[in-house]
Amino acid sequence: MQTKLEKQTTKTKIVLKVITKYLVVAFFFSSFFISLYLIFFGNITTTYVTFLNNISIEEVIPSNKDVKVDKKTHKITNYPGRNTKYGTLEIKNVDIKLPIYLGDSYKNLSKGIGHYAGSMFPGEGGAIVMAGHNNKGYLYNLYDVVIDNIININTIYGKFKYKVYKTDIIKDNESEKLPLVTSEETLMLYTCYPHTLGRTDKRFVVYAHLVEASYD
Amino acid sequence: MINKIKYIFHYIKVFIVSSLFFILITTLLINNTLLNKNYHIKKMNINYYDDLYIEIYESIKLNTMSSGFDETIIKTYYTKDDIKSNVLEYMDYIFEDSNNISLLSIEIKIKESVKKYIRENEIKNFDEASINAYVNAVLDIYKEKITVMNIPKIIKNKISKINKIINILDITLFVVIVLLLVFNRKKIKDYIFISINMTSMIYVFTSIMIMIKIDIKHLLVITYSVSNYIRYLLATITNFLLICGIVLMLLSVVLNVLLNINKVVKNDEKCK
Repeated sequence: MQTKLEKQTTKTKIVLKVITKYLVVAFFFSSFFISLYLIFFGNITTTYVTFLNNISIEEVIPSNKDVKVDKKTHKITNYPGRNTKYGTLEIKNVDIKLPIYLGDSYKNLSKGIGHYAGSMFPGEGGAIVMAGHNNKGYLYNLYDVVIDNIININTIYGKFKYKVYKTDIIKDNESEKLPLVTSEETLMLYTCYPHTLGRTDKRFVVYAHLVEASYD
Repeated sequence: MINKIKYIFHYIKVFIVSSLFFILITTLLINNTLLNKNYHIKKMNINYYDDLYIEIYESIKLNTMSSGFDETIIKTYYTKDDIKSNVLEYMDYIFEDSNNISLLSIEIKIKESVKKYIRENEIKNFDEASINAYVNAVLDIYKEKITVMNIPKIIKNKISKINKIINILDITLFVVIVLLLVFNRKKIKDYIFISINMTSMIYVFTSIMIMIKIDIKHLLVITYSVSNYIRYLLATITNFLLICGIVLMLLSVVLNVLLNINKVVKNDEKCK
């Protein structure tokens, strides 16, 4: 005859035995099922997981700490970070002084001059394209710039002086009037034209050649 | 030898039923969450409309200021209710093949606000074409953000088809599982408990793998508001799978305990 304790122990053993059996069998079945899934759909799953991780981007805050210029060749070896402020543009005659940001996004233009990242940097030679809004506090007075006016660009790697040789009014789709390939270093600074409420399809462009450069 | 074969054959049937059970539960889950319009509408109420409001505002602000307007005019263009109504309209377009969204009310609001602004500020020097270009630019930004650049259109006609296929599949699976259980009544507990345990283990494993392998926190999809929504959705589904898996496992253990204790008690009484 079993005592009460022995009966209780037997009950517990039976229950544990059954539960363990189900868990172990389920574990083997799950592993087998997952293996079958990986054999048949493993490649597609890996592709999707890789895709999801490729569109996961940790925000990297760009900086200009490492901007470098080769002292002999004057070539920039480490460029400023995108959307960072790397210089100032000043046209004393018309009272314009604004910071320059790399990239001509709306956000950068709301803070100052946007440097089109597909063009060259001051001092590199070639075409430099920059833009700004025509509101007060931005390039409102740009229309008053005339030939021979001086545009000073001071960057974190050097100072550059440009002399205006031409101004023009172009349409926003006339990209050939802002060429990205020029025989000598040319600054093309533009803004919307005329001063009006709303969006216009015209641009006022100032063209200037490099006349002086000094490196820090 | 015959007993061994019967034993193996029994567990093959258990595996088949468990797999079918897992597929049935998973497809029911997918049909009632990811492929369900009302589920998305409920989840979007959390933060999506607030994020979208800010996103649209910031995009229009840059355009507005560069067009010579004051930033405060934007608040008269649309409200959070307008956004919600347009998003719901677009969801109907994607999920239920209704007409695409109409932005006529927003267009009217913007034009009225601009006219009022010109009147109140006594602006005489303006060009009608420039104003229209600005209004169209603002409308384009608004529509682009609401429709997520119309990318969801890719799945437009496919969702209802997938829903129908899944419904037919679920009914078929349910019938097959019930028939298999009816024909194997004697060892029905094996089928039920192993199916539940297998489903719960796969769910726990899947949720852990998603948490380890996918960098959900830094997902960036099209826009900021959509990214936030997808991150939230993925995190919710992952947590749900984990909790569901653990609960199912505990449920099966508890049921097991109760059923087997009854069995032991009955055996005791028989012996007496």
